[in-house]
Amino acid sequence: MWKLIAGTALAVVMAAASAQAETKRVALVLPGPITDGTFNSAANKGIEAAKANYDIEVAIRENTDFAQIQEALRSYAEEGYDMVIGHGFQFAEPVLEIHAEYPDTWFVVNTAQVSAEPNVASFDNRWGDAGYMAGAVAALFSENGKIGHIGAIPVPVIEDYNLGFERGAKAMRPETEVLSAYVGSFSDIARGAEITTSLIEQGADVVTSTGNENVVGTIQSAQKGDVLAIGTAFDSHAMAPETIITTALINMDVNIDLAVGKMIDGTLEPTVYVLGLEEGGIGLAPLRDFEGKIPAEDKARLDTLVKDIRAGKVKDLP
Amino acid sequence: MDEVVFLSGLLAAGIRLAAPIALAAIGETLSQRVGVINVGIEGIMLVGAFIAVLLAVQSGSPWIGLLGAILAGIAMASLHAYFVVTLKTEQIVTGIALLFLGLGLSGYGYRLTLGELGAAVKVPGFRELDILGLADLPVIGPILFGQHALVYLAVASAIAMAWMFRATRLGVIIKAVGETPAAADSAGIHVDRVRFLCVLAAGGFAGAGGAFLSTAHLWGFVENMTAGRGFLAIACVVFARWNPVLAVLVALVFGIADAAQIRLQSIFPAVPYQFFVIAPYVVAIVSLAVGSRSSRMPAALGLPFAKPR
Repeated sequence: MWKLIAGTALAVVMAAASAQAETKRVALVLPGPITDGTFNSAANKGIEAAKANYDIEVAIRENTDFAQIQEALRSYAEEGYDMVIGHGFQFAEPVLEIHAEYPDTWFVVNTAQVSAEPNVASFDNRWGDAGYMAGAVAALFSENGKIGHIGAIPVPVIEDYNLGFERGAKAMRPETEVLSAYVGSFSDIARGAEITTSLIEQGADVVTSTGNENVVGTIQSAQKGDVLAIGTAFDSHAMAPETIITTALINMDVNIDLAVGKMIDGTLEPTVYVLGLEEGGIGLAPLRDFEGKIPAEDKARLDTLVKDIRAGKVKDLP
Repeated sequence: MDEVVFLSGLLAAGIRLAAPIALAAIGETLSQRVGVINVGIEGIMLVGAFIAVLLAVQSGSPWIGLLGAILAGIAMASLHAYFVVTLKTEQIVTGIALLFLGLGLSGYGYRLTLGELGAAVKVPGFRELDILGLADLPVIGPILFGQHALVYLAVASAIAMAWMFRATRLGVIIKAVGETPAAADSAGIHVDRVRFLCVLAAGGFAGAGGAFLSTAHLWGFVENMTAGRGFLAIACVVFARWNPVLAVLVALVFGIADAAQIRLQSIFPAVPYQFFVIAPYVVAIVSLAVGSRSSRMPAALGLPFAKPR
C-alpha cells in the first residue's frame, strides 16, 4: 500500500517535472510602464499574444532604469529563464557584457542591432521605412505644406523615423517644409503637448510623434489645435478618430512572437533580424474616414509607394 | 503679425507650463513658512493628477475631479504631517518617502482603474474660459481673459495668502510658528496644531497642481507625468524668498523659459536640442544660487518643535 502511494507520488512529481521542462520561461524587461499606450504597451501585447500561442511562462518587469538593467537581466538568467527579452536599444550594451556567463539563456534585444555567439539575437523594425510612409501621408494631407515630427529623445530608431519622415514627405511633395523638435523626455506629456502646439503655431498642420507617453501629448495638442496627426507604434485611431489619419505601425509584437517562436522550434540564430513591411515588422494602418479626403490620384501614389517600399524599390530609405 | 502670434503663443504656453508649478509652490510656501519642508509634493501632485482623472471620468465633471484631487492631496499631506509634526521624523527623508509613495500609488491606482482601457479613455477635462468674451483680443486676450479657471484661482490664492501673512492675526501666528516656535508656544499657540493644518492645506494646493496637469493642460494621466515639476516648485519657493505672489511669478519665469526653449529648438535646428531643454533647469539652479544669498528662510524650517518642559 505504502509503496503504491509512494510510487504514485513519485510519478506525479516526475510528470510535473517533465511538464516543467517543456514549458519555456520567458522574461520581458521593459524600460517603462505597460500603460504608456505605445512602446511598452506594444511589447506587453506581444508577450500576451505569445503566451496564448506558445507553451510559455512569462515574467514582466517594468520601469527598469538604465542602471538596473544588468541586475534585472542577471536575476532572470540566474533563475534559469530560457529567454530574456530587453525591450529597447539601451539593453544592447548590458546584454553584451553579461551574456557569456549564462550560455543556457537566450538574450534578445528589441529595437537594436546587435548579436553575439552563442546566445544574443536582436530584432529591429524598419523605423525609417515607417517614418517614410508617415511623411508621405503627412505631405499628401497637409494643406499649407508644413508638417512636423516631435521625437522624445533622439535615440537611433527615432532619428531613423525622423529622417524617413522628411524624405517620405519630400518624395511626395518636394516643397514640403518639415519641422522637427525633441521633448527631451519619454514621459513628459505636458512638454510634448507644448512642443506640438509650438509647431502648430508655426504652421504645421499634420504632426507625428515618436517615443512613449509624450506621443499622447502630441495627439491631444493636435486635437485641440484642430490639425491632423499620424500615430506611431500601434494603431491609436480610437484615441482621436477625427484627428488621427493613420498610424505608422511598428509591430513590436511581431518581434516578440518571432523571437519566442524561433526559440521554441530551435531555429533562433545569434544574429540581427530586421523586420520591414514584408516581414510584418512595420505597417500602415487603414486610413478609415480619411480615405476619401485626398484625391484618388494621391491615394494611388500612396498605395504605389507602400508597394515599392515592400518590394525594396525605394532608394532613399534611411 | 508673426511676432505677435509668436509672443502670445509663448506667453500662453508659459502660463500653461507654469500653472501646476505655481499651485504647488503656493502650498509649499505655506508649509515652509510654518517650518515644515515637504520635498514629496511631486508625489502628492501625481496622486492629485490620478484622482482628478479618475473622478472626472466617473462623474463626468472635471470639478468633481479637482475636488477629489484636493482632498487626495490633503490625505497624502496628512501622512507627512503625522510623521514630521507628530512623530518628529526627519523632514527631508519623510518627504522622499512620500514622493515614492505617491509615484507608486498613482501608477498602481491607474492600472487598477482606468489603465486597462489604455490611453483611449475620454477624460472630460477643463476648457479655457472666455471671460466677458474678451479672449479673442490680440495678445492680451488669451493671456488675461482666456486662461483655465485654475490659473485665476492660483493667482487669487497667492494674493490672498500674501495678504494673510501681512495683515492678519492668522498670518502672524503662522510666521511666529515658523520663526520662533518656542515664543509662539509661550504665547499660548499650539505650534504642532498650526503646523499640521498648514501642511494639510499645502497638500491641497499640490493636489490641485496635479489636477491642472491631468485635466486642464492635458486630458489624461500617465505614470510620472509631473516629470520633476514638484521639485521646480520647491525651487520657486526658495527663490521667491517665501513670498507666495513672488513664487507664482518665479513659476511663470520657469514656464516661459520652458516655452521659449521649445520654440528656440525649432528655430535653430542646428543647435543640439539638449542645449535648449536644460534652459528651465539652468534658470532654477541660478535662481537657487542667487536666492540663497539674501535668505529669508524661516528660522525654524526643518526643525521639529519639542515643547519645553
